[in-house]
This record gives sequence, C-alpha cells and structure tokens, in this order.
Amino acid sequence: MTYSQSELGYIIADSLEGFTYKQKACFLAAVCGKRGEHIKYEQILIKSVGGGVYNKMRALFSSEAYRAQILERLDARGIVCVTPESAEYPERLANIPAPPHVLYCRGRTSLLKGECLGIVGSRRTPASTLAACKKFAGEISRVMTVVTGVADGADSAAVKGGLESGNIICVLPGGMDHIYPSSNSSLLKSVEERGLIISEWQPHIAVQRYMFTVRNRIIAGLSRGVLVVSAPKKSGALITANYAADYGREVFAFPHSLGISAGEGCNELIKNGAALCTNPLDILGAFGLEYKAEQQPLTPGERKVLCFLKDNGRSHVQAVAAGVGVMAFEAVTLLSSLEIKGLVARCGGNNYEAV
Amino acid sequence: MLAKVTSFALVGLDGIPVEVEADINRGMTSYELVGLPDAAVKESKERIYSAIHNSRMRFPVNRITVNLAPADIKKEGSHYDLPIALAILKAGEQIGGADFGGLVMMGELALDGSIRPVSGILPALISAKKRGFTKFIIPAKNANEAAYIEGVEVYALNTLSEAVALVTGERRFSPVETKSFTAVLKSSSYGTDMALVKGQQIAKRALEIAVAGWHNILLSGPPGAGKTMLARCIPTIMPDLTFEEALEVTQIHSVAGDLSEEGIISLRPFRTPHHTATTVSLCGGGNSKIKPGEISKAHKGVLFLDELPEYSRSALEALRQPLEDKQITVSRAGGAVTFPADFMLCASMNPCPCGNYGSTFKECTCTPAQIKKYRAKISGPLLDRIDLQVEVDGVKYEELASEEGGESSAEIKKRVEKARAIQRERFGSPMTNASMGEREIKKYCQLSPDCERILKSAFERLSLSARARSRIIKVARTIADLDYSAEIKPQHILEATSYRNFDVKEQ
Amino acid sequence: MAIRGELRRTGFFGELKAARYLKKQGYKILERNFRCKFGEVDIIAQKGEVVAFIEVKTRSSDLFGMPNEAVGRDRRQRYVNCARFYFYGRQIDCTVRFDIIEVLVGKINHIENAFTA
Repeated sequence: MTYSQSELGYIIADSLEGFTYKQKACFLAAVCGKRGEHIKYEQILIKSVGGGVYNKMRALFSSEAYRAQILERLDARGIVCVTPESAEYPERLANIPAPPHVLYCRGRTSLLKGECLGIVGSRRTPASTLAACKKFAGEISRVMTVVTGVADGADSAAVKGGLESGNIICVLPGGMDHIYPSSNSSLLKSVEERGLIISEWQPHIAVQRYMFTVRNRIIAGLSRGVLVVSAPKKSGALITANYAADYGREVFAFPHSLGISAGEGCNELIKNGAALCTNPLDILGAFGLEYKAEQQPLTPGERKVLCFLKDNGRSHVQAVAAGVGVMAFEAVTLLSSLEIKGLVARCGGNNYEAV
Repeated sequence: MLAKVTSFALVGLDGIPVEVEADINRGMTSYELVGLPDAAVKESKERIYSAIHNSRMRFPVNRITVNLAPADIKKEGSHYDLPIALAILKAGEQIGGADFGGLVMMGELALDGSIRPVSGILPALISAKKRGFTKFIIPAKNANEAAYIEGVEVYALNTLSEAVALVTGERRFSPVETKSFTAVLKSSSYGTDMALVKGQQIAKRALEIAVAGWHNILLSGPPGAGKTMLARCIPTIMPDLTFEEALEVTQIHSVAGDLSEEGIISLRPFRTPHHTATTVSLCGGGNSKIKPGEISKAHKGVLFLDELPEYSRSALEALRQPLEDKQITVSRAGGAVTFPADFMLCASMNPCPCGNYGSTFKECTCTPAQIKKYRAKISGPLLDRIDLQVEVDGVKYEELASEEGGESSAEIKKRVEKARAIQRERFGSPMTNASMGEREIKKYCQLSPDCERILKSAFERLSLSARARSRIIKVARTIADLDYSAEIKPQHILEATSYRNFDVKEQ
Repeated sequence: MAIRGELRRTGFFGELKAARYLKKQGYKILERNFRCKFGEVDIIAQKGEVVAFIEVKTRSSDLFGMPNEAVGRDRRQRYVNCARFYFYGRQIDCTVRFDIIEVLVGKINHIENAFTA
C-alpha cells in the first residue's frame, strides 16, 4: 500500500509510543504544520514532554527504517490506513471535535464515504428486540451503511442484519489484534470479507475500559443518525446517543414497554426528543431516502398467527394455538415458518413475538 | 481321586465353561486352589469347609488340589462355591455315586450350607444353552431369572444337602417351571402417565417424536418446570419390550447384580445417574470384574441426565462413542469387554445459570457471557448427537391446578408404534431414523425443491450451524412418519427446525 | 531356650498323659520329642494310614485362655517343617495330619487336623 507524504505523516505520528491524542496532534502540527505555527506547537510539546523526548521522537519520525518497519507491520496484517489527508476519510467524521488521526481499516474502505446509520444497543437486549434490530439493520443496509460496535447482543444482531448486503462497518474498541469479545471473531471475519472493520488504534493495542467510550464517538461521528435499539439507564448506547446529539446527528430509538430495564434509556431518549422509530421507513424517510419493503407471501394460517401475535404481544405457543384454533404442533410449524421469514422472533420459553 | 464339575465364568455377557477339578491325594494335609482365582474365589475355602461340616458331611483330611480350567481366564465371583464343594465331596468319595455329566452348577454357599443367590445367572444360562448344556443347578433365589428360558432343565435348590441329594439321585426334584413373558408384561406398569403432565404440549410432542425415531432429546427449562416428570414419562410411550429385548436387558442387569425378585425386566429401564457420576460408573468398568455402567443398564430404555452441564466433561465426552455405536467396549488390563448400550439419551438443563432465561414471569439476571459459558459446558460434538432440543415451560399455579391433562400415554404409544412399524418396513431391520447415516438420508429423505428452499432460508435466517442440517432432516423424517406421509413435506421441515433451540440462539 | 523346673515338669506330665490317651485310641507312637534342626515335635503317632504330628499343650488352669490358642503361626510352620524333615527321603504313602492335644487339669481334648500345611 502506498501513501502520500502527508498521509504518511499521520500514520507515523500515530505510531509514536508514549504520546497522547493531543500530543500527537501537536507533534503533527510541529513537524508538518504551517511554517508560522510549528514553532508554537514545538514549544507546547517541549513543555509537556521535555526536549529530550521530543528530539528522540522527531528523529524516529524522520528515520526511514522506522517508517518502513511501521508500514510493513500494517501491510503484513492487510490493514489499510485512512487519514484525514486521504480521499476516503469521511467529511462528517473530520468535523467532529476530536477526529481520529488514523483509521486502521480492513475491508471495503469505500463504505466510509457512504451514508451511514449507527445502530447501538445493550448487550442484554430482549430476544424480540434483537430480532427487530437484525431486521432493521438488514433492510436499512440495502440503502445506507450500518455502523456498529462488536459487542454481544444488539451490536451482533445489527452486524448479522447488515451482513446480508455487506454494507456494514464495525468499529473496534481496541487494536485489530485484540477482538473483544473473542467469541465474535468469526462474525468479524465475515464483516472483514463483505463489509469493513475499522479502529483508531494501532493493531497491537489492547482494549481498555475507556476506549469503549472513545470508540462510541467514532460511531456517532461517522453516522448521519444513530438508532438506539435498547439501552439501560447507564449504558454505552446512551453515551453514543449523546455524542450523536452533540454532533447534531439524528437520534432514533425503539420504544419499549414499561418495566423492561433494557428499554429505560430508550424511552428516556424519546422523552427528550429522540425520534420514535417503529419502521425502517421512519429512519430512511428522515434522510429523504427511499426503500421498497418486499412483501413476502403468507399463507392464511401464517397470516392468522401473525395477526394474533400483533394483537396480543408476546405469547406462548399454546396460547397461539388456542387463539388461532390449531394444534400446538401445527402452531409451532406456522411460527417457525414465520420465524424463517423474519416476521416473528422466538424469545425463550416457547414464547414468540411479532417483529 | 479326581472329580470334575462344570461351572461358568462370565466375560462381559459372554459365558465360558469352567471345569472345576478337585483332586485328593495322600500327603501333608493342605488345600490348594489354582486357576487364576480372584479374592472372592480364594476365600471360598472357609465357606465350603463350614458348609460341608454343617451339612453333616466331612471335609476330607488330605492333600486337596482344586483347579479351575481354563487356567488363563480370571475367575471372579462367589458362584464357584457350590461346584467346588461338590467336586471335593465327590473326590473325597463321600458321594461316590454322583453323576455330574452335562450338569452346570452355580451358587454361593453360606456357612450353614444353604445356597445364596449370585449375579449373572441369566447370561451364563443363555450362553451355556448355546453351547449345548441343558441341565443346571442354580440358587433357589435365582429361579425367576431362569424361568423364561425354554428347553433347559433348571433345578433351583436351597441347600448343599439338596444338591448332594440331586446329584446322587437320592431325591427327585422338579425343574423350574417356565413362565410366559406376556403375562409379566401385562401385569407391569410404570406408575406414571403422560396424562398426568399438565400443559407442556410442545415438550410432549417433542418427546413423541424423539421416541418414535429413537432420537436423543435435550429439555431445557426453568427449575421446577417439570423436566424430570416429563422424562419419567418417556418409557410409558415407548413400544413394549419384546422378549428378546427383555432378555438382553435382563442379562445386563443380572451381571450388574441388581435384578429384582421378578427375575426378568419387562419394563424399559429408566436410569438417572447423579451428576457426580464418574466415567466408569457411566460407561462401566471396575478393578477386577468389569461391570456394566449406567449406559448399559439403560439399554433399550432411557438414560436421563438431569442438569447436563453439571456432569463432568470427561464423563459426557465418553458418551459420544456409545451414542454412535450402540455399544461400549470397556478395556482394562485384564481384557476388553463389550456391553450393549442402545439407549435413548434424555438430558435436561436450565436455560442459563439463574434458570429464568426466557421465563414469562421472572427476569433473568445472567449476562450473555455467563449464559454462553454455561452452555459451552456441553461440547458441540455431544450436542450434535442430540437431535431434538426443546424448551419446557415454567408452569404457573393456575395450570397446575387445572384439570386438563391431555392425551394418555397409551394413545401416544399407539402412534409411536405405527411410526416404528413404518421405519421397520423402510429399513428392513429394527433400525430407526436417528441412526440413519448420510447414505440412508440420501436414499430415504429426498427433499422436494420446496423443502430445500425452506431449509436453505431457515439456515440463512436462523444462522443454524451446518451440522444441524442432517439432524433436522432426520427429525423431519420421523415427523413425516408420525404423519403417515411417505415424503417429507414443508411443514415437517418447519416443525423440525423449531426443535433446534440451541443452534438458533444468538451465537 | 530350655524350660526348666516346675513348668517343664507340668509339660512333661501332660505329654505323658497325651501319649497314654493316644495309645488307648489305637495309635501307635512313632516318636516322642522328635528333635531336628527345625525344632521339636511332641508326639508323632500313627493310626492306619494317618500319621499325626501332635503338639501337646498342658495348662494347669484356663485363666490364660484355652491351650490350643497358644499355638501360633510360627509354631505351626515349625511343625510343617519338622514333618517335611521327618519324611525327607521316605515315601509319603500316608495322610499327614497336624493335631493338637490339650491337657487341662487332667482333661484331654484331641483336636484332629488342627491346622494344615
């Protein structure tokens, strides 16, 4: 992979160990910034890290061997870097208060330029919400690109939905070498093949607690809007929603019934002005995008079962059977057919719910 | 003088004739027992000595040598007491007129001369009959075990004196009368019935399918949902044991020494080893005598593993091979023994550590990671061998109190028997759908394009693992059989996919 | 270890009584106090085809248990060894038996085949 000089500057500056985000920004301004300003930044940097360190870093920065080593490390992992100097770097992200210096990417970097929708949610999300999340992600990803994290629960559901069309971006909390949670690595593998995974950290950097919050700013920054599918009172999903609101993005939220702890944050968001979202069209309409929902043919039995579930909410198979007037195992057959069509979700204990 | 008596040694379920030879010579008084006896056989001397004395006979004072031939098989158990005693008496010329020709003896002696029951009579009898022996002396308390074998002359005796009277012809005894198996079958019952289980229609249906196709099943549900109760009902909907099956099962239990008074096992076994069970107790083994384990004792019946994730990993992994082969070969330094183990596995577990995942009225307090960890305790390969995975509902009070119970076991059993008959006809052997290999699936489970399409979209939509495919088809075949349908229809495939809980779950 | 004095006299008296008893029972006394390097056998007697090696135990009271209980494992082994020695070089065409005779305050109790080789 070849980079332009200014891109290289970002990549190498980002690889310097021991600098914080701000120091890296200063360093960049000092080394390749405008002629008049770099003295000023040099002074600030020397003040915070000391002259010795600064000179060492500077020597390292200009060392050809070091540059080659860094680039080789990235190439070996098949990682492509996108910097604010690159054409792929999304304008929307560049405009947030602290845009990442480098996005380490694997997959289709062209996705970065597209219209993105962030989908976030709690790890403990009810099964029916997960199914809805997957369905939304699937339908929206045909028109927009879905941006999400990699956690269990809502994130994974969104990823699975988005994988259908491949318009999916996963933002990792840490470096590419450290997938957290590790059980999702196979899922990420397929995202890498069909979509894109990005991280603002160098590949070898392990995940730490604070990085999740920092990561959430990228999800919000990349997206035109953020859909919160589930969020308890204090959660990362709410933090993302707050970033989104701060950056002036649209915030959408699923409504939840009372008493479900995973839905309290969502309801709170709606109360505070987030758009209530019950249909992918709600979101697409807000951005002026079009989408034609495909109608799947239903048998009369399936239609009856679906109606029953829509009227009664979450129901047990036996209740469905009694309500529709069929044997329990026939109800199972109908429900399982609807499940395959993605219209109902199984939520444990032989209960089903319409999506 | 030399005397010879025939007895039998058991290697697994296989009986091998053992010649008990006693020789009495002049010389320094001594008693030597040779021919690879184990501790119980070696101790026999003291029992025999007392038994002979207490039967008003004399233990010869001389140089006595007893040999158990063939000398290369380990002789275990206490049933050599009686043949050794009679051989010694004959060699000591106290029962000179005795005739042991073609007679097989087994029995343990008590100090007072009475004959105690021993384990393994039935398998020994069956293999002895195969080898042409027809006359037997066995302990009176084992008489019932022998009562179902035809074409043999079995004397069930109480004391050593009776045995002596029999072999010398002093008294006549009437052989054990043969009993009919059907009569026993009719009179026995499991003491439970599907009609007693309230609600749970899904689980009941799944059990019906499982039994019809001899599929293994996993019940998952909150604590107190009635998983154990359901499992206990499984034998009640299984077809009755045939006489041959009953003999097979009884042989295993005879070797294990846990036969009841009945003498024959007419009910399908239901074994519930506790989750602290070791690999040996499940699969069989033992230091000297290799005994059948729980999986063999569950032969032709149900092995119920309650709280599956609590079992030790090694014990569960050991089940994999017998689940495929329907038998288990236990190898020890002393030799290898094969026991049949054609059981239906029924396992139960909670859906998550706290047990309330998916419950309608209690909230689950587990994190996804905890649930994942809990489920990961059951290895994929084992889960692969469990064709049906069903959720059992937590029961509410109103349901418990309600009268409605549903079908009785007898009604379900009728359907199961019909489905089995269809399978017998199809395979031309007692094979069942669950044991179909890839070849049979290809041959007997042709899917219409419609079904293929449904299956394909099910895999995509529900993110099923590829391994689930053949299991779904097998279960669908059984559902079709229950429906008397020659080909697998879309609804059968759909129903089958709904019993794949664990594959469907979010990773 | 030689036993002397009163004890020796008691033992000797017992053996005498035992021998007399055996003769009355139709035994032929082959040896008295047969000594060899393995030890001593009190009486070797024969009746028909049985040759008995007899240990005589004399007690003046049963306060310390019955006399036959005093014949321990070593003593039995000694008798077996002595018997082997006795028959060394001879044809054993008889039954060899090991007996104990208890002499307790004048009463005699003959235990035939008390132990085996």
